[in-house]
Amino acid sequence: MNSNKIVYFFLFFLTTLSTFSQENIDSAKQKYTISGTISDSSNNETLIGVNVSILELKTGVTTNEYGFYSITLPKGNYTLQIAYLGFQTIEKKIELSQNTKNNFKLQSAEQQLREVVVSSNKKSTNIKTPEMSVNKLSMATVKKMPVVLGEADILKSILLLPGVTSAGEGQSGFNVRGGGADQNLVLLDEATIFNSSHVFGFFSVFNPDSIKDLKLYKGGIPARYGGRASSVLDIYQKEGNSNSFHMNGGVGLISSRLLAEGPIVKDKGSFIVAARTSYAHLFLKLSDNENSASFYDLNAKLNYKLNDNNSLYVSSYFGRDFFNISKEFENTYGNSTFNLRWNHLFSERLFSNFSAIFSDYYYGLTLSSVGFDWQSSIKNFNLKYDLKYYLNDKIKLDFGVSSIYYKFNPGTIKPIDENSSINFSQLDKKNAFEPSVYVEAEHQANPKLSFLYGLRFSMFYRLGASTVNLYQDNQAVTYNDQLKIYEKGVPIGTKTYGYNEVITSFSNLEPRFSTSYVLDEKASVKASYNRMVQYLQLVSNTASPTPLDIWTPSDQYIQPQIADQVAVGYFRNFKDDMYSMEIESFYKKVKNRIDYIDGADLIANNAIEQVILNGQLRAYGVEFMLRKNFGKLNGWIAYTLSNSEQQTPGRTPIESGINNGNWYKSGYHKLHNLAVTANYSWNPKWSFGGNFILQSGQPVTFPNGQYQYQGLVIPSYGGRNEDNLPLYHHLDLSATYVPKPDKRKGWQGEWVFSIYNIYNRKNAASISFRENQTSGSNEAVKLSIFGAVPSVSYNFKF
Amino acid sequence: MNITKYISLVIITLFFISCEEVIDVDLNTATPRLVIDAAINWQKGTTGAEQKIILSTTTDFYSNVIPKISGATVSIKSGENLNYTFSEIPNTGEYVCNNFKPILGETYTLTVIYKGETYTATETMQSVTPIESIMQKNNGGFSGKDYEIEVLFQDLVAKNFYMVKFFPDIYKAPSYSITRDEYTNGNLKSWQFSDEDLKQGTKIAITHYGVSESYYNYMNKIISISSSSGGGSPFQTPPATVRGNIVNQTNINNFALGFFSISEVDVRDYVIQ
Repeated sequence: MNSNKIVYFFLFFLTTLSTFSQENIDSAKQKYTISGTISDSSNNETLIGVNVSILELKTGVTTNEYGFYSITLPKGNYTLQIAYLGFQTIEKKIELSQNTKNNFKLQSAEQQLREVVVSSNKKSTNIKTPEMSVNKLSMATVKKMPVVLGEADILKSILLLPGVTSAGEGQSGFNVRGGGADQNLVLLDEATIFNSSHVFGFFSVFNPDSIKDLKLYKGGIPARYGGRASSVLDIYQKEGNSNSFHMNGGVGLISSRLLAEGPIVKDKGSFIVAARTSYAHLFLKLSDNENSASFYDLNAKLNYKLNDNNSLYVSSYFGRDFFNISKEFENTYGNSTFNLRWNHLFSERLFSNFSAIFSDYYYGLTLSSVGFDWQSSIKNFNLKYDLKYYLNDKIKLDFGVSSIYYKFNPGTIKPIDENSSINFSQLDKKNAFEPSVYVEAEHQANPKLSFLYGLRFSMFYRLGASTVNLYQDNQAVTYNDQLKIYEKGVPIGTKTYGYNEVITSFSNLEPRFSTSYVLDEKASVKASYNRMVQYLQLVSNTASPTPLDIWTPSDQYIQPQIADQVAVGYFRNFKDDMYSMEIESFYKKVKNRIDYIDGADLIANNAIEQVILNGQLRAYGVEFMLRKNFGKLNGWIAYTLSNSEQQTPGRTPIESGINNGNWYKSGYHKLHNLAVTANYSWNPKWSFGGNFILQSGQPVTFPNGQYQYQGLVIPSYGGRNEDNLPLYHHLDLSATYVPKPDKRKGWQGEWVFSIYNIYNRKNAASISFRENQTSGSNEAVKLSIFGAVPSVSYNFKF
Repeated sequence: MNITKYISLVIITLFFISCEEVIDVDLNTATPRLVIDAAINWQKGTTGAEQKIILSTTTDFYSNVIPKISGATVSIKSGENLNYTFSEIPNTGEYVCNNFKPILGETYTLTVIYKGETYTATETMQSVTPIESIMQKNNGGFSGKDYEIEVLFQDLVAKNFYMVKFFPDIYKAPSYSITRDEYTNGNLKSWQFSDEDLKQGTKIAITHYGVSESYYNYMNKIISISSSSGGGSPFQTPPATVRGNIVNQTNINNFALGFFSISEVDVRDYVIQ
């Protein structure tokens, strides 16, 4: 560990801070701060990302994750404009002669329409901020998209964004800009979610009713985020209505949900509790076996405003999946999170948030027939302190510290009773500690040019108690030169480390930079660079995650993944912001992407280093998005042309590497990816939605021959991933019927009818090759999951 | 214990509303490659003198004919320098020996000479504990309604690797499984076999093998990609050609497929009651 590096970093951090503070004192003579929070008038829910503009100066800020804004200006008279998608825009004249607190409550555009005051309803692309490669989705948008099985789904909706693809139908996870699904950091109220889906990918773990807002960072990732190589999906839960008590829910064919929210102390504190459950014996009941699959989840959040400067938030999530086959096989898994956050305003210009976060992913499996019981988990404890300093109308500063302690239990194997032939076995538990500090400045250099420059310094300590294998020449994988194959290394000894003793450590500087240059009122160009370091590795040999995927910390044999990404983009609004266009191009390279030797056994492997080789990943492409922002018909068209490849060369000239050391297409390479989504409000009672997705088939490896060995037919293969599944596409439609659209109080209901894959396309989930049992000849078999799936659900609130 | 198998079974079963369809997929065919099927098995209670090695090549994936290799020279040499010659039953690709002498723990070397190139492989003969008993359940299998047989054997306190072949008379191809004693060292272990097609009177030929660690690793890969076992799961690793332990000493890049193994085996026939 290079301790000098850390010292320098802190020195840099402190000097920067003190320089800014100095300026702060000097300028405070003529300048004053206007600050406050912005919330939804109907439920007092704070609003994230609201544009607060000073019309005279053509400058502005957006509200942070807690609805807070602050802007410091010279003494004078200004017009403040507050604009947010779906809400009535407010303009207010202010005379700034002292520090002023101004909280705003926005009225929803629906109410506005009722009052027949039609004005702009902004959701055009923000062309001025250096923020790029970011997609924000409001829950209102998500809820209008038709989805399979009739329930609004966050993960399904982000698949419609440019640069985002799914691993395949019925598979969990998503891929961003040609990166692996393990390279996405998924945060729910700042807590890491390790498995984002229920029932192997059919539902996401996020209850749509309890989610407020989500943001997907595909590039130009701010310095406050770290730990994953490709993207950040940041999801915020609602705080609950602090005006009055309400309930809402939905009844569907597969699952039902119910949510209650209300004030604890009016205008000061509120709660929200949401539950969702599938009906037991999901579809499997249809077959005559006694099988079942089901899930449930609970979301709860409390918030309390102690005074103007202090607020407390407690939020938690608990979800579980159950899977049972003939009582022979019982499987339970899920996430749980708990966090406590404290918002504190040191001054009108210095906002802070302290978070204590716990998250746990549990996986349990019981096989009664062999008397086998398996449990694994990843727990992490995170303490974070983030500050935002609104220096002046030109510069905002973000800085903070975070420290995460991980406890990995890769597996505890137990006999279920004394008749079992299984012995108790505990795979080596692994501990790790990941502290980091960051600082970032958003700087508007002049009206046309702005910058975001940040630096994150991350450290990672792999800790005991562990007994670590030692290998000849430190090589856990050996190469058999005669047979040209990689083999597991044989340990030459072991070394035991005590509890929390450092086994290996890493430290990395992660620079982040983005800039935007405004060409004219309507258009801008932006560029960004970011380095991301990922210290956790997903041990999985499939293209998409499964519930049993095992995460392992970097150690002396498995290096952390280091991703560098550059992106450039052109952004334009036209026709009075009716349309927005975004074009971006990116290039990403990830060092130390792990790959597996042929025939690697990954499950219950206590020496995973013996089957892993370090390779690299590269992805590049162009994304195009055209969006109609408002009107009766709105939606977007997104198209991505990209390439994603992996290479694992031999470590020495003698070694062949994987796939002879050549670049090969990664399992999530999708050359073409087109998504169209549209929503049409026909009248107050009826609205319609549609999605169309078309993407290149997943790269796969087909046989190039066969032979016989010991009575078995064995296929032989050429290079890896040289073939493709057929083109993947489907069209989904939905209709929403609100019987009494004018009703604002009491029971309000709506019906949602949808058909997924309306033309019944049998998309291939896989193509496998087998010997036909009757003819004895080989044949190719396509497996498809969904044909057309109709569904209906009823949603209500009161 | 191989839990990977159970996991993939579940994942496949999960595709409850899925549908399977046989389709036409055009495939490339690589240049034919020599395949050496040299599994020497010494059945308990026999002399083990009669052994067979089969030579063939790879061929088009959809072809129904496997090309046989005639005219090769095949022999096995023991650690005591005894040489056993395998001679071809004319034009069958099957090479047989009638005087083989198996010795537990002895190291043997296979030599095949074909088209001027010499292929060799070396293995040590593995012993196996006998099958102790066979039990039958009538409510077994994945659905809980199938016939299931359980074959019991005692594991010894040492690092052991096992393989089993179940070949019911209603099958076209045998079914193989492997196991190791990583989590069951020194315990009474068992093999399970069930199938919804088993019925009263079905005869199942059971062969229980003691195998080397390298053969275990080889068969682990072979079983997972074998198209007789239904091909790979939708979640499989990118498959690759499985290399065995046979080395072409003349031209290392023109490698042969297959494996030279030498095992003690215990054999039983069981008829479903």
